[in-house]
Amino acid sequence: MQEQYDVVILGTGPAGATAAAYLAKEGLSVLAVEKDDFPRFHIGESLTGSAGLVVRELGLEAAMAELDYPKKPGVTVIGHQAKNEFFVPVMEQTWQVRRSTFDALLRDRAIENGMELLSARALKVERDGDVVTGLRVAPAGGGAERMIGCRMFIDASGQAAFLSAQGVAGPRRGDAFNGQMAFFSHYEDVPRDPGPFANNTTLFYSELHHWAWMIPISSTVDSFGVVLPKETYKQVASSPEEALAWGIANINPEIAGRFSKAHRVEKVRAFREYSYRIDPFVGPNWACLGDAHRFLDPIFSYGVSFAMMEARQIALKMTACWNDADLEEPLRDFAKWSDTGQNIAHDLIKYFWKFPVFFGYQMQNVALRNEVIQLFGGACFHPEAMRVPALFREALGEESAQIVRPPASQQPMALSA
Amino acid sequence: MELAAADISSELTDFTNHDILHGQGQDLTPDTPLLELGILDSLSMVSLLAFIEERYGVKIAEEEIAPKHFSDLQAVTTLILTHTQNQEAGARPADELRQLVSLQQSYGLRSVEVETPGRRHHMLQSDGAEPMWLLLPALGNPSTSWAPVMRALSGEQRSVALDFGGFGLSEYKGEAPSYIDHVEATLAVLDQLTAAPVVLVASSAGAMVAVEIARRRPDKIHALVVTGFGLIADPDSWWRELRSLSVSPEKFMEAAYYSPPPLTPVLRRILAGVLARPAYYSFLDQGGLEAMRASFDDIQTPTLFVAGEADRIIGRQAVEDACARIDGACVSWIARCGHFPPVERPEPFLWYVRDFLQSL
Repeated sequence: MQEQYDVVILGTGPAGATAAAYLAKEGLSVLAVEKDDFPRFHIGESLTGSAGLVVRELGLEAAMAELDYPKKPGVTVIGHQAKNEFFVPVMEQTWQVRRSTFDALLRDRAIENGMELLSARALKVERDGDVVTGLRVAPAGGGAERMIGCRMFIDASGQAAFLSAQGVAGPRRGDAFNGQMAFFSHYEDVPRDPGPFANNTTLFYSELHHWAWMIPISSTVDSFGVVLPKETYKQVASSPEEALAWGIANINPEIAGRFSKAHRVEKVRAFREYSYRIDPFVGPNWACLGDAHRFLDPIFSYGVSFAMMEARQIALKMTACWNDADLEEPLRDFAKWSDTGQNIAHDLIKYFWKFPVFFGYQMQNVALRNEVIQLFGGACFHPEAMRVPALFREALGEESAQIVRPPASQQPMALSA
Repeated sequence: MELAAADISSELTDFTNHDILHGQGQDLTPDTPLLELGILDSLSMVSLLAFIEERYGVKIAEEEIAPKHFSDLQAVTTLILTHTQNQEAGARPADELRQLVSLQQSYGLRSVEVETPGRRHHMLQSDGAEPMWLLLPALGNPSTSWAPVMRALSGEQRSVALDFGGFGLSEYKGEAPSYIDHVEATLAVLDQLTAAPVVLVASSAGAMVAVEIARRRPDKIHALVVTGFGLIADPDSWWRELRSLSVSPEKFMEAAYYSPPPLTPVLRRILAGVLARPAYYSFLDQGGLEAMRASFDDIQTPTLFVAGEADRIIGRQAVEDACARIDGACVSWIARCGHFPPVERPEPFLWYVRDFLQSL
């Protein structure tokens, strides 16, 4: 192990491992710091079409089949009281995954590409003025604290949001979909739709902000989760197990039917106060990726995909400009790109809940529908020439993330010491 | 008919109070925020649009079904007025089937007529790449029943949905046509449309015409897709049952759909119109029922069946029996779907057809 790397990455989930895999492949020296032992459980088990593209670029397609990950034709959305339903196909080959093994797969690919891995806990980010210069860590299993120098530091620490906690990135502020709680586990013996559609994500919704997901993560196991507003949870349940049982019985008649013979094969977990954003999330020689700066809402499975797409994007931007005097331009471009995509995704989710009837009609209109299919697939980051983002912005008014706040990239950002 | 804004908004208020809120909405006024109060859901929206169409002769395009036009009844009134003021007197086709066609034209599908000796055939068309898909409707259904699928194909795939003679906007002079007449007429149309092999996609009893064409002219058919049809063990009692269902639109819709759409007055009139046509009965009464028993024999064309798991008109066994008669054929089942997958679940239907064509 060296004292100095081109890039130090904190966290080896999908954001960190993907960034490392791309950067190391381009010949940069990359050290990743991880505190957890792998494999470990994680939520976020469905990939969009754009994440499928990243998986294929990393050459992992054959491994996905070996791991028994279902190939995902698309998303079936079953409406209130199961009275209506629509299907959104994926535009690119993509998969449903078990995160314990998927995250390990990505990390192994990064190591094969040249990433070094250090098992350690991050203590403090080191700076020279505003410029990040390295990371102080405590190695796992004891040993002396050490300082690792780097030109670029990437925070991929997930919901821990290390750089925000360090006061380097902006403060963590609750975002639009806070106040929701998710309860989830894995099940066997849940009947699925026939044929390839067995591998679809199925979303079931009820009244405002009450919904559930079903994601097949292998040929026999389904991830199932229920999302409720905090107030509902207080009224109907006193434990996560009860909340999940309540959701199975009450969210949608279609769920109750499917779960009559199901049995649970994982413990029940809960997830709350999950919607937040951190701004600014890039600065002189540092950037936050994925959950380390923003998490909207799990409904359209954007979490892992956005993390991987952001990781790919920043790696491509940085390697293209690595020989420049500073990294200001690629980081600024990256922040703008991220804000654009995340804000459109925010509006898509907001509009879906606020105007479900109209969302349904727009899904019948071929021109709009094709755009929504692309947005579901991850095209939020490339909205050029699309009509739907403007339509959502106009309908949401004040609640649109596209107009309420200027993108972080337009806010003053000190990029030099 | 010149209606003032005040009249329209007061009628809309009455309708919403009585028919949507069932008398529970005495406080509702033209500026009550409909969306914020959750008054409009997917079912009440269908009723409201049907009322507007019936009362004011205004068909609101999907494009216009946006929150800004439905924030309150005042906004809906404004939307209606923009239509009635733009409407030239007599410009609206009187006949419901023509209205359905002109609505699809506004979405970019084309209404085309083809002449074959002694006949004029109407069809709906989407432009796009070859091979052409020839879409045959179910017994009694107009070509517009294929519109949900065709609009998704528009610009990508050339497709033609035919109105069978005596149905939709296709004429049939003289005797009511038998199913063999439909086979011959469809072949004549096909020869005019293209010399290249086509993908033949047929719904319900329309599939009887499709399989006969595939049997007679395998050179013309690249692939065959049959939906909502199978090998019926006892055609006579099946036909009796279907006719008794058809007496009541409610019963028919209940059997044909997993979740039946609300029976609007327009839909009711279209259904009644179909059942009044002699062609509806002559299709099977003149030799069709006998032919059913051998429908799926001697088919060499690659064939896909797409079936709704909740089809109460053609059972699972009938689909599987038909599939077993054709070498290499397979069935794709669609969950929560009745007798008309292209209407009830157009997206999964298309997904399966495209997947099948790619596999050839």
